[in-house]
Amino acid sequence: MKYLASRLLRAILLLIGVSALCFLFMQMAPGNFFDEMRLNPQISPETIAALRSHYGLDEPLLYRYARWMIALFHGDFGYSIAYNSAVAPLLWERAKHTLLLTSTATFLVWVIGVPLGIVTATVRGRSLDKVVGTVNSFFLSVPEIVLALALLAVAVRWRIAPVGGIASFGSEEFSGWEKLRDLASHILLPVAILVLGGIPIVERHIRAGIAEALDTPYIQYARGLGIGRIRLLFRHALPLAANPAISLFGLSLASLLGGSLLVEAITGWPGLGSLVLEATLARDLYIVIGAIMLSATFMVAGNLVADLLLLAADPRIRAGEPDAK
Amino acid sequence: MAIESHLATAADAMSLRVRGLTRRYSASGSSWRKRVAVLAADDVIFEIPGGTTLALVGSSGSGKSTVARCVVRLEKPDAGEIWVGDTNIAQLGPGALAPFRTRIQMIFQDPATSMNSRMSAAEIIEEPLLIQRRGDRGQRRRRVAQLMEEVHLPSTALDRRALEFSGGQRQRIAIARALSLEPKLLVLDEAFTGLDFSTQKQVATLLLELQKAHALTYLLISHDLNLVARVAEWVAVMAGGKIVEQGPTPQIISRPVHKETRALLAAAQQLQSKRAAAQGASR
Amino acid sequence: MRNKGAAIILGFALVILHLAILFAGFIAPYDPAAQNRDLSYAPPTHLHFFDSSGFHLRPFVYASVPDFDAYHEDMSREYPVHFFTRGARYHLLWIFTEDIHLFGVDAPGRVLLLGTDLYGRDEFSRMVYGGQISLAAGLLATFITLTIATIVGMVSGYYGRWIDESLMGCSELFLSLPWFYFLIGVRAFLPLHLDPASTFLLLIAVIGAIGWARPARLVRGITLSARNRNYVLAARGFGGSDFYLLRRHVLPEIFGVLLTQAALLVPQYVAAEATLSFFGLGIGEPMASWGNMLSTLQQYNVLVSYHWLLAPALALVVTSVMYWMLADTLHHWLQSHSI
Repeated sequence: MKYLASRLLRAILLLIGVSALCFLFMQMAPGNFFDEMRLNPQISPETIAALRSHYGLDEPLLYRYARWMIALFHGDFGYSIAYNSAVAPLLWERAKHTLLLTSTATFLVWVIGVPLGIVTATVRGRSLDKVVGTVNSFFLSVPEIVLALALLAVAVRWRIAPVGGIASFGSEEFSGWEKLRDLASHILLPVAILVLGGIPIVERHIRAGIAEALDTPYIQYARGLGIGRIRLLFRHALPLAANPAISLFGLSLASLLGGSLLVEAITGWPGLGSLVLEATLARDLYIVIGAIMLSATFMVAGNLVADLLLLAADPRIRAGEPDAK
Repeated sequence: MAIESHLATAADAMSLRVRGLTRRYSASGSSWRKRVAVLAADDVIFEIPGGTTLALVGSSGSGKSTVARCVVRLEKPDAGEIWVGDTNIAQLGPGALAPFRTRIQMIFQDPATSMNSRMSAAEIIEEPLLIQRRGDRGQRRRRVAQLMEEVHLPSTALDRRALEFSGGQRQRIAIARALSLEPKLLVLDEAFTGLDFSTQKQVATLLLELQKAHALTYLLISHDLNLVARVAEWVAVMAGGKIVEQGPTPQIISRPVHKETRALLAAAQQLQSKRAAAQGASR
Repeated sequence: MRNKGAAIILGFALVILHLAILFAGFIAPYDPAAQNRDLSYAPPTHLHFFDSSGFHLRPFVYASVPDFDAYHEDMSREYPVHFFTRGARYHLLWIFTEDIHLFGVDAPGRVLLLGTDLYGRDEFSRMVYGGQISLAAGLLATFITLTIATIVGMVSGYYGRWIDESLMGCSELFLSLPWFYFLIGVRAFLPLHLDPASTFLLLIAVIGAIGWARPARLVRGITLSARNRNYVLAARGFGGSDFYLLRRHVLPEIFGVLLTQAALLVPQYVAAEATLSFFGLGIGEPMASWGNMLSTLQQYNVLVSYHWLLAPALALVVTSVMYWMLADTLHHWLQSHSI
């Protein structure tokens, strides 16, 4: 209980820190970004003046920070000139798409990566392990942008999947089943990129965890007792390897909102990442700040959940042992 | 008393007087959580006349290491006085403490970890001179060679790395290093514990030799009363952070009063008979 | 890389890669900025060894002739490839002005090993020059990150208590932000269009200043354990200052970790620069970087029809793979040496 409270406190402090950092960024923008707005002929000086007073730009720093934080709490993330809409709903709309993409990818990565890791751990040293190991090392070392471009090239050249967007033109007319197929075809490319990049990490971690568990004297002893290999693996080795796996899973959770920027931008998936990029190029800084806050919040929350999962799984942490982690 | 012969150069020997030394530890990791205080050293009082050896004995956790670290000012005592010659160094700041750093030195228990295994013997012995900027390169080299001789290590060993030496040889290097700044007080924190019996005897002989030659005062921390009996003139027994009994060694050993002293004696006698049996068997 | 032979080969390969990029002016046959609108999107020129008169040891190329929307080779015009030939002037190592190139052909022949881009600029030359920007960005940003990490980690681990807690709290803050969002975010708040030199410096500063948290924790861990060693206490007993102790006894311990971290960070940062430049947030025209060279591939027709423009991606892969192997080798070497 005490552990829970301290982790929660930590998370809140982190979020305050993140918000302060973001706020400082906004102050860092050259001049203030209203100068850029001034250059835009579509916005009248009266509008700018009104916005300035609305956001209290002539007031002291701490006061502005407090106002900003209060506004955030009320869901007011600012206003986007380029999209002509409040930022919050915009962010949320795109965030949903990102979450759809990343959860699908994460699900696949774990569903494929965990068994793969287990299998290679049990056949350690043999050819299957070596092949998988080499392929993994390769995919780990290839930069994400290259992977994305390569798959994009394949998809475009051989018309394997539509690229760009989340739905085809006129898909509102589709039946439920057709809509799903359409979605699947659009999500295929970005998911493929994320999955190819994500499996090696999970596989490696699982493999290392299981291998280490299999090497402990405890397991050797159990083998000596004649306990069958499958039973050994699932009832004894797997729980030992749970800790690093759960930590990694927590990391996966935490990056659900923040890990797909590149893929979205290259494949045209309308998610939070591609929004941030567009906004950066369009100098729409409220969106950028809002997106950073949102993804950071998600990350902190994800880490918290990971800690809680670890707590639930490992009795040693509950007992307060110092080096249980 | 036999003590007179040890005080041949009493004039430049330095005495150590400890009064009411107290040190508390807080057992918690983070600085904003509640502190639970443990009294590691509780109102410790003893005195070592210049040029002699006092052994601080006790079982592990009795506080002897804490006292040793306070005397060397690796830690600052929470209360009490530490009189080195005629100065109380207990609460001195780093600036005022600096000149005393050279007068008091410590020999650690584990010769493997008390020196940086990446360095050569020469570099290790030279380090204090380097830090204190004593002399130029040539003078330092000569002093290092001289020190190696004093601890009976061959000068060919100078450029070998620390991990190439045996435990006993490493303790000699540690002693040479400690001597480089010409200290007057040496604290030997379980300096013999990691060594085998015959090596212990050799190192002990060396230390006694050096004590006579340089009029050194020793504070010996140990739990082995056999060793203490051979080396120290005075004994102070510690338990639970307090000194429970102290006096001249022969007296304490022949007529122990406190139960802690008795327990330590019993353990020492057991060990002694085991050794005798082993020696007898190996003949 | 567990065996010594493979490690040596890797070492050689890395050295050759870096030398080739360092001497880009020499290796590249043409000026990377020289445009030739007549040769837009020309495919790589083939090197031939056989012609109507038989085998030639010296390879040669045919002239490329535009033909509707493609090119064909004009067999009547042969241009042998010469080595150590004179060509466009360039600056060797930024100091000397030279005009000797590794290879080239006489004008008006062109040896375009990797074809040309939209403006008819030689892709191979641009790639080699681009490597200078991308690799330098990666190396310099890594240097910045590791410097920050070393200082923070050592101070944090050595002094402990509230300094340690606040610095590590700071690092946790940085680790809580999704790296790429953070990178884009910081970039967003800085002026978008600057001159190339300022952009480059800005880029490495931004990339380098963000990733210090994880290496700092590693350094802190090592410092913590080193600081409590007896030989450090002994040195302090001799009157050693904090600075001396850190420099003499702690720093050597962290070198190994720093090297491995460097080998891991360089490819990541090269990729970061490439990605930022790809999206127009990094190095811009007319300077070449592997990233901005790839950005034309965002147009699908280019991606499909002019595949030779993917060459910088290959360069990125080769560089990354080599550095990862280096990191792996260092990791194993350090593990076996620390015992």
